[in-house]
Amino acid sequence: MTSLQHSIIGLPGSGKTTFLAALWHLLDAGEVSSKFVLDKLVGDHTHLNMIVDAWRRCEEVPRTSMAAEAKVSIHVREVATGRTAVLHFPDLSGESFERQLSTRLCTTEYVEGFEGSGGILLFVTADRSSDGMSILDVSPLVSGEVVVEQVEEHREWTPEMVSTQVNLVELLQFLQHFPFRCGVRRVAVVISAWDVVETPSLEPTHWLERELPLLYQFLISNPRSFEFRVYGVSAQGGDVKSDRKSELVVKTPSTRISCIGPETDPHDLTSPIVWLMSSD
Amino acid sequence: MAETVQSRNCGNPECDVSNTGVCVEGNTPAESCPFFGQTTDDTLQEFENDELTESSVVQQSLEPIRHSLPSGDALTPTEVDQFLRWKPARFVTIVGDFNSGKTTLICALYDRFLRGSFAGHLFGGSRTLFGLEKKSHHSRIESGRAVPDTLRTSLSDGLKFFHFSLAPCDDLQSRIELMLSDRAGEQYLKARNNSDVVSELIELKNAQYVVLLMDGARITDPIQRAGAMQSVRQTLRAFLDGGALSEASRVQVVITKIDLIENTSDKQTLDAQLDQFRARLEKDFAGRLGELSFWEVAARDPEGNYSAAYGVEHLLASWCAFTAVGMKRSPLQIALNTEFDRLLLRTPMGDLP
Repeated sequence: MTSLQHSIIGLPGSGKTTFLAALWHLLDAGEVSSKFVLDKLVGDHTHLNMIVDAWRRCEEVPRTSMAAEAKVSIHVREVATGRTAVLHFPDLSGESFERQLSTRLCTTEYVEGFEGSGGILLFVTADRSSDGMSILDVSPLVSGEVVVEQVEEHREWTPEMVSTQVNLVELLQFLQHFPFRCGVRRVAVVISAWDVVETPSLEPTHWLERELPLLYQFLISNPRSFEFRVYGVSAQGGDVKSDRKSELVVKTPSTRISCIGPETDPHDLTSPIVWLMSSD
Repeated sequence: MAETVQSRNCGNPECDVSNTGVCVEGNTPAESCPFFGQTTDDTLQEFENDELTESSVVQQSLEPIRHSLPSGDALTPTEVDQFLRWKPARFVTIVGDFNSGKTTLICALYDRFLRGSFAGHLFGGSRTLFGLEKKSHHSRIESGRAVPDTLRTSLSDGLKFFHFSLAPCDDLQSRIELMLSDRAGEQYLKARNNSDVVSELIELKNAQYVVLLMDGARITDPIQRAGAMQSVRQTLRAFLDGGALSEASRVQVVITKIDLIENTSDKQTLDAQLDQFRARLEKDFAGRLGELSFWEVAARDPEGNYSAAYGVEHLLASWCAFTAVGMKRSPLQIALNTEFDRLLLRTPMGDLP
């Protein structure tokens, strides 16, 4: 049996825990076909059962706090080959990544998570407001206009002001140097809340190129460090805080899930992970 | 290289972060404060007296082992040396008076990569990502400003470098490690005033390109125009006479803020004066340099009439396409005094295998 440690990277609210909750239900319930299935129930699943409860009720999955960070393990069997594996995912809070960026420190446990041959699930959400905007993007000056600066409005730079794409590039850059192992890693970029993307036919890769161009350039220009694929995932199937909740709640839970990208079936959330596993 | 975060102390004696968890400087999280983790004099004494209490030892052992990660700030010359042990880099030294647009040029370049590929190149990484973010802050919405600005480089900052790792769009396997220098304009003014200072400008000698900025804002003002032009000319002369530039150097004279020139009332006169200035510069200095060229940029037109980083694309393309200046090599004249040396002259070289 193979034991694979995959890593999850994502800033707060990027859909990491919701993805894990939906994945756990998909594997446990067996309502739709997937590329791998739950092989056996071994170990402590308290965290998974806790987060999946909210997901099943079509409620927002509670965010992982730094105190509630957990490592989940799932015993799976690949349907096509019969190969079994134990997948380990650390459910780290987005705040712990923010902390890593602002303090420029990371734990030994985090470093060890990247030692093996597992891949990386990198989360970004499509349900986001633009960040890192320049003043000229919003309001170019009019010729001759006198602008009075409101000095009391001025704010000093803090690490929290750095945009999502810059932070994600920085987190990936860390992996290219000591104390992290060198080599090519597979990165499955998971764009969560894909249901809010207004052009359903848009390829997830094109969304990444359009919305997070620095991250896209970085991934494409570092083939010696990263091999990547991009997936659009709606783990809830829609906005559970909107009127759509009543429509979603009557569906068979696994059919709410939507996953698009290379070699995927419509509800199969395992596709990104199967691709990460195939690098083994 | 694991290091243990030993305490939640603060080097600022007025900060009580160890008890309150709140940084007196207002940094969030508290660990981002430069004083965080440092010891105050009191705690140093405590160490010297070897009076560590049992509880503090227990507290230390509970802290997780943490690894240091790169700071992401602009690189010092020492850090650049460390980088060069790993990979060769291409150096572009940006020289100009105070407020001529040196840092804005670098920020404009970064801003374009934030939006996609630029000048046929993809952004492949940067050792100075957070440094670039800090410098760009005053042009961002989050700064709370109404007019975009650039965080000035002060004299006390010394010499710093910003790093861009770029990959040509048509060849993702190859890399150009670009190091752009950033130093306060006051230091270059000192070098113009005192030739002894030129030798201290270590960023000049090994630069693949030296970019001399002429402040577009100053040349639109007839009163300041001659001074701005002369500043560039005198800088070039000082660098050449001081031995910082040579026949192998490529110098690019770049007029910044050309969006301002467009609207100047005496544009025809200005254009004529600029033509004469360029001609004089070529006549007097081009022969002493490997290359002397002239460029124009509008790195950040506040009115948006010029596209962002106008003209920077061509500059970047030239930096990335760099090939060394072809130098004529003259053979060393060695006096052949001994019979053994003279044997060399008598040897018919054509007959050698």
